[in-house]
Amino acid sequence: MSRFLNRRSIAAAVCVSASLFAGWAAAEKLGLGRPATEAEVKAWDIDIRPDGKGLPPGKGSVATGEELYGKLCASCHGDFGEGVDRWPVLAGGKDTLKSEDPVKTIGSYWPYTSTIWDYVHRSMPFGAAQSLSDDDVYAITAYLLYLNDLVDEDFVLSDKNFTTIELPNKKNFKLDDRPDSPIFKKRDPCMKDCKESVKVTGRARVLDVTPDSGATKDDAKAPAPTAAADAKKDAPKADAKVADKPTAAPKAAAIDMELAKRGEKLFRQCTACHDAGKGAKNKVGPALAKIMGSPLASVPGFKYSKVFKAKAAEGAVWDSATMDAFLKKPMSWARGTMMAFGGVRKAEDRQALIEYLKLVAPGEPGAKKAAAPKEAAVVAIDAALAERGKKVFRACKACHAVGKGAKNKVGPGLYKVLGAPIGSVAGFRYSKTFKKKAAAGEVWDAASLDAFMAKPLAWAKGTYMAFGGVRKASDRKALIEYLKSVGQE
Amino acid sequence: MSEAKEPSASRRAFLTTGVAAAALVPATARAKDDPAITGLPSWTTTPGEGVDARPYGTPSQYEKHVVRRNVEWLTASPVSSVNFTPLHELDGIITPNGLCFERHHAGIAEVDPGQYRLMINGLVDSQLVFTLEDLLRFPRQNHVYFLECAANGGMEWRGAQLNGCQFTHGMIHNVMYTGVKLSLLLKEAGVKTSAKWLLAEGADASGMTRSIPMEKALDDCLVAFKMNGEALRPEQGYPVRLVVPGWEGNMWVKWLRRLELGDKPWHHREETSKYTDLLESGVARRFTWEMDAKSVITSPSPQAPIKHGSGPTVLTGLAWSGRGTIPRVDVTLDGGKNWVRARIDGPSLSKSMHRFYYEFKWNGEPLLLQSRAHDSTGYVQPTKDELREVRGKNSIYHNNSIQTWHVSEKGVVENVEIS
Repeated sequence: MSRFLNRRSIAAAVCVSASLFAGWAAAEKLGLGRPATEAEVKAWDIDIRPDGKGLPPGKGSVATGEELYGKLCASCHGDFGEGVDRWPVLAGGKDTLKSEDPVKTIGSYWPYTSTIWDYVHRSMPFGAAQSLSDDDVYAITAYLLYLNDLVDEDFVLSDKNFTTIELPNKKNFKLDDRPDSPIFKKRDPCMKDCKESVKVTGRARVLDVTPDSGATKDDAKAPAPTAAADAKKDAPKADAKVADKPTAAPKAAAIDMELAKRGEKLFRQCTACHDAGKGAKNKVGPALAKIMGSPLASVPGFKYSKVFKAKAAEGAVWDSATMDAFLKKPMSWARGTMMAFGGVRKAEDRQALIEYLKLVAPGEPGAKKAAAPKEAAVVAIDAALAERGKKVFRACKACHAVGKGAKNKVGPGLYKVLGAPIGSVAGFRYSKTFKKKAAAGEVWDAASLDAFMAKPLAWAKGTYMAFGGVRKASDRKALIEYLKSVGQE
Repeated sequence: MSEAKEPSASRRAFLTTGVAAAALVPATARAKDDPAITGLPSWTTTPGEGVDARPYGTPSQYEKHVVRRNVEWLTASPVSSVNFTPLHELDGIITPNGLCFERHHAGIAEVDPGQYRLMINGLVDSQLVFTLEDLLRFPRQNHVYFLECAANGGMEWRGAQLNGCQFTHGMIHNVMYTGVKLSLLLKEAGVKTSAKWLLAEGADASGMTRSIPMEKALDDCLVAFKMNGEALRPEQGYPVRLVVPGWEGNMWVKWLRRLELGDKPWHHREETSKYTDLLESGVARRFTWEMDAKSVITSPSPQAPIKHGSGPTVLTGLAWSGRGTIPRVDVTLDGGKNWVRARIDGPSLSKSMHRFYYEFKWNGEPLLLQSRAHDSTGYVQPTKDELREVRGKNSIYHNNSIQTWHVSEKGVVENVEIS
């Protein structure tokens, strides 16, 4: 009690000095805060306006942009800006704005070039915002303009010519004029006997896309065509198929016949070079008789490229993940492959193809388990590379412990990762995407680790690993070598 | 029961127990002794946890289902996505902090308040930097405002799609903010007369930006640091967010780090490629900031079916307008043939949610429920058809049309559209 009394008496004493209680008039400044330095303003003021205000000096060509885009952007936005899964579509969509299914891209919808520059610069690539140099941003912007047929392939964008590039849809924007529309007129709506009959014209249940109430057992459901979130129509069906899989026993993964059938049709484009099924022969490409689950480059009698031989030496296996990555971009996944094929762009098409291969060209049962760990065990460790990997691994240490008995932290403990089934660290709570991969029997090999590390959020959509990725291939290689070395010392 | 078509298993369970037990027993009949009364439950005989057990309280273990939920197929990644407020479980007008829907473009930024800085630059007399401590030395104001995502209801333009007001209307929350008037901070920097626009920028990995006209910035915007009395939640912009009353949620920049004054708008991504409303003509509206008057019945609704059978029934819902208060809400039980005025209860504050009720005796027949908001400007919430007539189906944003719920004789509720 005495404490309260004390405080009150202090307050009374202070009251004597009236000036301490002077309020301040609203018009007067308080003098709070401090002046911002020039360097501080420069560091944060990165915005760009349509009139070019804010643009730094610099330039970038379509060609440079293409290279950067392929490395940094294509995994989400697609090789041609067509968008992967639900990531934004950046190119195409011309003349679709009045249609049932408008495709709003840079070329078809966006009003200003400066928006591209500003956004790429401040937020992209997803997971590594503000990591691009000014010239990189000019180059990527140039390439995006090129993808939208707005500039030629030899175009170079710079701060000098920037404001001359106008986007075609600029004229089709107007200010908010909602108050002019008829529904804004003051009305006194009818309250009694307003209509004779009422008919139900549509039901949500018909589409059935509402998530179930059980928060953990949500099925991915196929949405109906909708304007929501600029969603694409075709992707979710494939997702639904994937979601079905975990219910099947992981060992004898059931074949989705409908999907495989679609895959058979798609496989027609491959038959010029590949024979598939029992008794298939080598043609320009290897015979696909026993592929899914088999080690890479193991078809007898086929002359493989160096890149495949190298991957085989690392113990890589054809599982859904490696096949998907290869089919997506054959020439970048296996640099130097002789398969002169551009790749299968749509994820659901690749899934169908893989399902078809699982059906007609299943590998030897158990081949996966036998092959991968054994190979990994024999492979010699490049000690210097592993040492470099250990250094690179510092960036991972906040979330991952390494070594025998490594405990789970924010991420799973890492020990004998190479050759281990994905999603198999005891006691770690995996995201759905990893559970799916685990249920599909996927294994950590050099290829899958490399793909994951390169773009964690893209390779394992929905992973909790909130890490932008390891950009340099050499760094990833070193990391993998380091992980290989752990458990072999 | 044609169970195959019931929306969910848990709802079925509710119905079989609830309806059978309550509806068939008249209130006057002699009931069996209720073990909930005659038996001694453990909570009556045994002391529970002490005051040191829950230093930050959480809801009852029986309320675990009352959570924000997302719709997985909507977006490519949960890091750039949205979840929904469980409106059907709430009452009154205030949304509890842990249930306020989230929309992030690059996940939740975890800003260290010690390193928090707010910069004002551009067309001002002196470019300034404030710490959080500095902001706490300005005079504060408290206001209750709703924050609604412009895309709330965006999935319903083409037809009824999601069964639950959590999903059709849950991109909204209503919170009491404590903060400093933005105009005070701007005055501190000295706004030049040439400044017509303000750019608000976030510190998250999306670097969210929006252009705001000076009239609004100087009118009622707040730089807020508290919600419902406590610090902002990380997912709502801790430590500081912008409050732009009545205007679309995307402008309420979270993790606010910078305010720039300029003579023109910036036309950034969130005000060109997104948050512009495409009309049937192929022309798009830009700067559609204000949220039109809207209402929804939160119970009964698909996730909150009628479980008690016929008899006294409470219908309740929410109404709001970005242009003022809601003096009136009409309700219909027969799909719009006849309407009655609902009872608005609780505070009626400008640009805040309003709670309405309509109590009636349900005779067990199917119902078609709708609510219709009137705001203080005289604007009346349109039907879906009326809105599509002027907007087409491709707008995505600003769908404020009247929602219809069908109630079956079993009390099951479904999202429908009617003639």
